[in-house]
Parts: sequence; structure tokens; C-alpha cells
Amino acid sequence: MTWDTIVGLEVHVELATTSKIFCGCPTLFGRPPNTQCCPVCSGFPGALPVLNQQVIEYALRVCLATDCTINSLIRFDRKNYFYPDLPKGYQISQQHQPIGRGGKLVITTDNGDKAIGIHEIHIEEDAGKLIHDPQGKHTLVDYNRCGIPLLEIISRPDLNSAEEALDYLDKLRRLLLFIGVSDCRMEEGSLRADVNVSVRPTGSKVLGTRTELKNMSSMKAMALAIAYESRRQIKILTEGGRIRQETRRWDENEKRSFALRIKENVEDYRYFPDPDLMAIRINDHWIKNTRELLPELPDAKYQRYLTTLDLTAYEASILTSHPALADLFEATVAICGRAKDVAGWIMGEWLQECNQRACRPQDLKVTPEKLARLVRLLAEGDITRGTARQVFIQMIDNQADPDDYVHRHNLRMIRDIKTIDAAIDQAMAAHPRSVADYRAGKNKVRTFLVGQAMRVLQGKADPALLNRRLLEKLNTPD
Amino acid sequence: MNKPLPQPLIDPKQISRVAHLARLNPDEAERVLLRQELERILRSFDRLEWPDTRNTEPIYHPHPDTNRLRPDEVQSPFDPADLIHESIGQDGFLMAPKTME
Repeated sequence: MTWDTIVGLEVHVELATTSKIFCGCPTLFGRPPNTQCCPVCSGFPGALPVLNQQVIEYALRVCLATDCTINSLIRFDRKNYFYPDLPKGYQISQQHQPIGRGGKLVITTDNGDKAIGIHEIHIEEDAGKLIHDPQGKHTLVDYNRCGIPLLEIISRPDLNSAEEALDYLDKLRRLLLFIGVSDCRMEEGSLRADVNVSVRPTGSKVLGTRTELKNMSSMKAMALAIAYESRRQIKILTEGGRIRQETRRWDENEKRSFALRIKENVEDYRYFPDPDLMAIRINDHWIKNTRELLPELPDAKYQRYLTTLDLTAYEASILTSHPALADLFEATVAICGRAKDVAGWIMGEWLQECNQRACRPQDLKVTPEKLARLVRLLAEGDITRGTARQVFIQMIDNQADPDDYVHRHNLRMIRDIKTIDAAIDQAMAAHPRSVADYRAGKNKVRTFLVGQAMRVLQGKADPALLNRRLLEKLNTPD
Repeated sequence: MNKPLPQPLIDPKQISRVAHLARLNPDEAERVLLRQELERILRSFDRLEWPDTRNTEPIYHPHPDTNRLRPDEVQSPFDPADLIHESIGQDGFLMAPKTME
């Protein structure tokens, strides 16, 4: 018997507001524990919440970008549960009248595009963070995260593999980044995905009992967890067992999941309307204004890069993976044209430097104006790629101006044949053994001799010209 | 139109479930008491079912006001340190009963 895997994702995304959802506490990440809380977010009796307007603005953007139907009247409900991460004893969420329903997100599969339904988007507050010390007698609680605004984006069970789930999450991450509502850093918990997995015999229309997986801190972990859970369920069912509806915790070290608790049903949370918060009316004018402020979405950008800028699918995909890259690319191309050259430089040297410096793309302080001039110098053959790299480092570290730096350090490419010939002669004279080896049939030695001749000219020779002249000289016996 | 008052029946399983959700572990005598009290509560709620509300809009809030919003600005009039008594704190964290084995 063959089995189909059915996956649905519940994505929690922390919104990039400067203050919390119901109080004025800051939302900075990584601060000392319990230094960003107040009576409202730590649940002191009598403290009253007031909704942050920016939360609604951001939520509207997400609903519009995912084609959700927006509710004209939304309310907040209390989700009651008892756990130390929740000082009030309830989480303010939206159960009955959420902000959006019925949207979609298109992913790319081997069989073409596939629309993944979005069941619902609702607003809620984040809970505190618990630290479980296996040796300690207590659980340590940090309430800084309490009251950070969250959107929960619930997909329909339309995903059929770990790959599709990853693509969905990646598409969603790009979308949220481009519309500027979250920094989507999984490692800091600002984008978290709970995964519902079930299996059913191929061809069956009935959904199997699902389990919910938690605690995946990276895309890779999520893929492993889905594949593991699917195999685990198929094994149980094949052996005649039954799947329990439960929440399971992914253990990154052991690469397996463990039952965490029997899944509570919705009635166990005893939802009821929060009497401390007023309803919010969202009129057409508000929606229209928000729609007009939406930037070009990453899918549209990707298509434009393919069709009007002639980039490859790979180039377009990388450049639309983060708004900082797309903004830099477009601003630079607007100055110098040369979309292919700019794309090549950003995807190569720019990202390589970010990688080496362990920083984000936007952290390299090089303006599009300067980058455009560097790309032009390289593309027009005024400097070699090696020189361009050297100049680029100076641009990052010392805010060097590329034209000025090249001029002052005499870095323009050498195309004078006499100078190049002299450098080749010098290299050949210094390495007669290599010359003899080449002439005896060891072609690989040529690369070494190119390097030696280039070294004589401090890496500034026109590489094509140098190569051609060296070949001519090597093939001409003394 | 008044509806007849139904007799709520709470079986021992439901008592166990409510106790589990409330993280309580009542003994047999307490279970009897809990059952009586819960049935009294349910009967009180049943009184709310008496009026016919089929054509009445539900009221979520006694006040009709909407869109009470505040700008996204940081305002910290409290010193968080004042919120945590040293007897329940450790290195800035609050200490709660152990939640994981």
C-alpha cells in the first residue's frame, strides 16, 4: 500500500512593531530577562490593554498580500490555559472574528505552480519564554516576550511533502519580509512554524488523525521532522496501530520527535470575548489605503526580473530572497544598467563578504552609486576582477570611492602588449622547468605560468590578453 | 417562550477531565462536592437559556465604542525591577514550578 502525507502549517510571525501589542513596552530581542515588561503584559490584576494601531496595519498588509477576505469587524477573545509562560492565565487571541480568512499562497512544485489555501490569519499576543534546566528545581521564566504582537497564519492541509512545506514557508517568509511586517528570523523565534502531519492511503479522501510538531528552529529541522513523522505514522498504521492526536516535540540532537502532551481540543481553551478590548471596524477606505501602500510583491518582482531584465530563474530567486538584496540590485541597475553584471556581483562578492563577516546583506555600507561605478569599471574592462574585489573591500572597510581608489593606486588594467610580453618573458625565464614541462605536453602548467606573469604586473594585466600572448609564446619554440 | 429546565448530568469522566484541565487531583469526597457545585453552576447557566433570544443580536461588550487604538510608541512608566520580588527571582528570571521532567 502506498501512502500520502498531508501537511498543514501554523506559522507564528512576530510583527516588527516598536512597542508591544497591548502596552508601551519595547520589543527588542535579546535583552536581560524581565526588563521589558509592565503590569499589562505581565498580567497584574486591574491592568488594562489598549491595542497598538500598527498591529492592525501590518495584519491588513499580510491579509491583502495573501488574498484573504478581510473581516470588516474584528474582535479579540481570551484563550484560557494554565502554564507559567502566560501570567494572565489567558492569551488574548482571535477565535470568533479573526482579521482574515480564505487566502492563498502559490508555491512552485515539480508539477508546476500549486495554490496553497490559507484558512485563517488572526492576531494574538506572544507568551513568555520558559527555560527548562534539567538540573534545576525550577523552570525559569522571562516575560520580555509576553505581549509581542503575533500573527498566526494557518494554511489548509494542502501540502503533500516536506519539500512543499519548505517552499511554502520560504515563500511566506519572502512575502512578509518584502511587505515589511517582520524580520522573520527563525533563529530568534520571530518566525515559528508548527506543523500538522497526517497520512492516508493513496486515493483516500478522508484525512487521517494528525499530530502537531513543535520546536523546529530552522527550515532544515522542519523538513527532517515532517519526513520523520510521516514515516513514524505509516509504520504504526501498517502494523495495525492507531495514531494518537497529540503534540510532539522535535529533538534536534536526536533527530526524532517525542510526545509532549495529548492535544487539547478547542473547547478546552474556553474561549470567550475579551471584555477589556473594544471591537475594531475596518472600513473600505482603510483597506484601500493599505493596498495602495503595498510594495511590489516578491513573485511579481521575480517575474519582472526574468522577463524584462533577462535574469535566470536562479538569479531572480536569490535577488528576491530578501528586500535588501532586491533594493540594492534595483537601485544599482537604475544607475548603471548592466543588470546581469550587477546581479553577478551581488550574488557573488557581496553575499560572500556577508558570509565571511557573518552579517546581513544590508549591513555592508556600500551605496548603490559606488557599487554601480565599481561594476562599470569591471564590465568595461578598466580593472580586473581581482582588482575589483580589492577595491570592494576598501569600499566596505574605508568607504573608498572606486574611481578615486583605482586612480590613486594605479590599478587600471594593463593592456599594453609590450608590457605584458615583458612580464611573460620574465616569468618564463624564471621558470624554465615549467616551460619545458608544458612543451612536453603538461598543459596544466600553463595556469601556473599565467599566475607568475600576472604577479609581475601585480594582478593588473588584461587576463584574456595575457593568456593569449603566453600561449603564443609557449607554442613558439625558442 | 420559556424552555423547560433541563437536568444537567455530569458524569465522573467529565469531573476527571475538568480536574485535569485545572491541574487538580481531587479525592473521592472532593469529587462528590465538585460534582454538586458544578451542577449548581450549570443550572444557573441554564436559567440564561430561558428567554427566547433567537431574534436578538448578541452583545459582546456593554459599550458600543470601537477602534480604541494607540500609536506604536514605547512608553515605560514602570520599572520592571519593581515587579519581581527577590524571593521569586533568579538572575533576573522568575522561578516557576518545574514544568518538564
